[in-house]
Amino acid sequence: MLQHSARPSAQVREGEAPKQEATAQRSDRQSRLGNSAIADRQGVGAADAGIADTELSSWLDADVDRGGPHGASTDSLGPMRPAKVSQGTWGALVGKADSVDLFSAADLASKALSVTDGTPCKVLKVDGSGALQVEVRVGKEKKSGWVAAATFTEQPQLNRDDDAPGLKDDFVYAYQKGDHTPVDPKGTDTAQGALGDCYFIASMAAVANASPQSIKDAIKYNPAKETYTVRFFEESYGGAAKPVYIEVDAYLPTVQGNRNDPAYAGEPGGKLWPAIMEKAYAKWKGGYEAMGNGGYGAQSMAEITGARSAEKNPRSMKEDEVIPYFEKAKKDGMAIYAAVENSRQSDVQTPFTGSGDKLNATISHTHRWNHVVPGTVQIADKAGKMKGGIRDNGKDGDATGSLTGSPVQTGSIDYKKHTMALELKSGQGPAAPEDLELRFSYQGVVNAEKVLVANHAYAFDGVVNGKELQFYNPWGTWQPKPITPAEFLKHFTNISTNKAPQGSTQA
Amino acid sequence: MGESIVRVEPGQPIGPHLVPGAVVLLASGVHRESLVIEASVTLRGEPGAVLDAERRGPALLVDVDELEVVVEDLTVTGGAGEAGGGLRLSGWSEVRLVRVRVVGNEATVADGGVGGGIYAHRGLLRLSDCTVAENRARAASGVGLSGAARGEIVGGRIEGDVVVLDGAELTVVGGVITGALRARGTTTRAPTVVLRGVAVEGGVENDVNLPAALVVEDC
Repeated sequence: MLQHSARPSAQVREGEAPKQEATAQRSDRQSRLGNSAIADRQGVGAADAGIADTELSSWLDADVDRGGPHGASTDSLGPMRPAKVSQGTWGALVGKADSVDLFSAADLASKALSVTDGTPCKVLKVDGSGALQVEVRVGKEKKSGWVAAATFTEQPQLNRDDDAPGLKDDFVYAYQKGDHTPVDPKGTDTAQGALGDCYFIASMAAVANASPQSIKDAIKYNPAKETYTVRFFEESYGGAAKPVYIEVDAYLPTVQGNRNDPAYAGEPGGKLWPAIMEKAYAKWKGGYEAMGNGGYGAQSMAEITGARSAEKNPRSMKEDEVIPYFEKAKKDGMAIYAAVENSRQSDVQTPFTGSGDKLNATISHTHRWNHVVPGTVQIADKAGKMKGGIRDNGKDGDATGSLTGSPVQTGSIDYKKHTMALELKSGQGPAAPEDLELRFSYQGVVNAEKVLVANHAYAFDGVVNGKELQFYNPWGTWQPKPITPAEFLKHFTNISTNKAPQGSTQA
Repeated sequence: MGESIVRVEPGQPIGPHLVPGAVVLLASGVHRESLVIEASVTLRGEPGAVLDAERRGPALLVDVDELEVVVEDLTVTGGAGEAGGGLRLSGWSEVRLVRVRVVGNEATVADGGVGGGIYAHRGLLRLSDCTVAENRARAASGVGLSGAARGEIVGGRIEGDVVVLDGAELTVVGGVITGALRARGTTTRAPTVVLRGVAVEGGVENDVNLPAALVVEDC
């Protein structure tokens, strides 16, 4: 599940909020879901596409619920049910019990298996009788079965499980309580989950820091349907930006075994708005898998605020320009987003041991998270006896690779265990193993003292004591210490600013 | 107004010559610079000319509007960024690459990046007989278009994936794409992809739920 710089898994997170009793919330959610409620929802969830412009004013003028605990003023209507389901639609199975039954045929007569309530699924077939054949993940396998259409809720496609190729993440959708509209939104409300969307989380954090009102105005609670409508902006050719509205419910992917712990954005007991905005963005863009597959902060900030972002290359700045730049940008009300370098070149190491032509090495790292970027290893003999260099042939995502080069008989590298084994051609090795110098690029924590993570985006927080920069890690944890302008220029590769509108953007 | 032509040797800065209407001839050799283009210019490489950004940012960045930028006969390499390592077009401008080699760039920061070679989310991108190869990104190692960008690729060879997202429009005529061509819209709009006589060796993957308007002719 963990991929690139997605936040560490729940098991290793630091500073988690106290967890609520899962059973209490589960019971509450069940009490709000009944057959009649589910039936009433049929056909209500049609607003999965944009709402027409003509509906904008009614959306803005609606008598919206501006706060209060979830469920305090209305009865739940359950999750969004699609008006139309077709083959390939992604969703989740939500019923009225702890589990949902799947049947062996469309007549729903013979039970085939049961899955946890909220289990994600994909529609394989739609039967004329109203039954759906769906595919679900059970452990490490895909299984299929038939369900009543009333149990299907349309939900964004989950992210691919990096530990189980061919499967989506093993998360279940569960209802999450929270404020109906963002209350005092700020960057620190955000907490990235097991999804590679730091560009989007950092964008939300940056906008919340600069213009809380933009976040407040972007999310509207629909008490009649108990859903949320999130406003984004899209540009037409030539540059005109227009708002689009995406409706989602508060059923979020949660970590297996804890229905209160959002698997993607959000923390147990944390603010709900970041997860709602993330879910709406995922739905708009084609699913969590789609949004977790690379993004671009300048673009996502513009999609949140409707204002165009500006970009700056830190490598074009001088040290004495850095603090004034950030001070001015903050004073001007800019949302400020910055990304750390993809990888860093290691110091030279001489890790090889052994005798004769057989050598082994364990690669040293400056942080336990660090790992070699496949395809970047270079080994050379500083004494010059070994002719030709040695390289690895790995590619992104590989667990192992080969070491190749003219002196190599056989060679391997294990990127996860940080080990290498070399058998060199007879007489072509170095005079001594320690003559072999190793260089590579690495990802992970590129500055352990200041806690800066490579290949990761941050939201700017402020200038500290007039001489250092404080950034916010959208993981919600592993917060960096204030960094100097020199450290900023060394590690950051781009800055994007966005003039988020101040004050209400609804009028 | 006549052309302002200037010849730049490796080691000399290119940036100061990028003034409106300029034709900048890059002499053979490696020019180590990441260029932010803010004027309508022509960059023309002499045989063997290389622009190497040395991972300082995108090799070519066009972020302002209403420009006409032409790049000819140049190798563009060493670019790095969140999107568009070799070229990022994020302004409403027209950028035309002619016989350009976009190789060895990456868009790999911030959880992956998009458009290892080229990325456009605004403006009009035109590639003619170009080679895009050995670039890295989490999505679209070759070319990525999103937002409302428009692209036209005529001839040449794209090694890697091409991705068309949101409401972007791409027409490819002839040439080869060695990776996949992936298209996916949003719930509010669909991209447009027209393929004429192009070999897409990795196949065309049009999203099932949010498909592009796809036209395939003589492929």
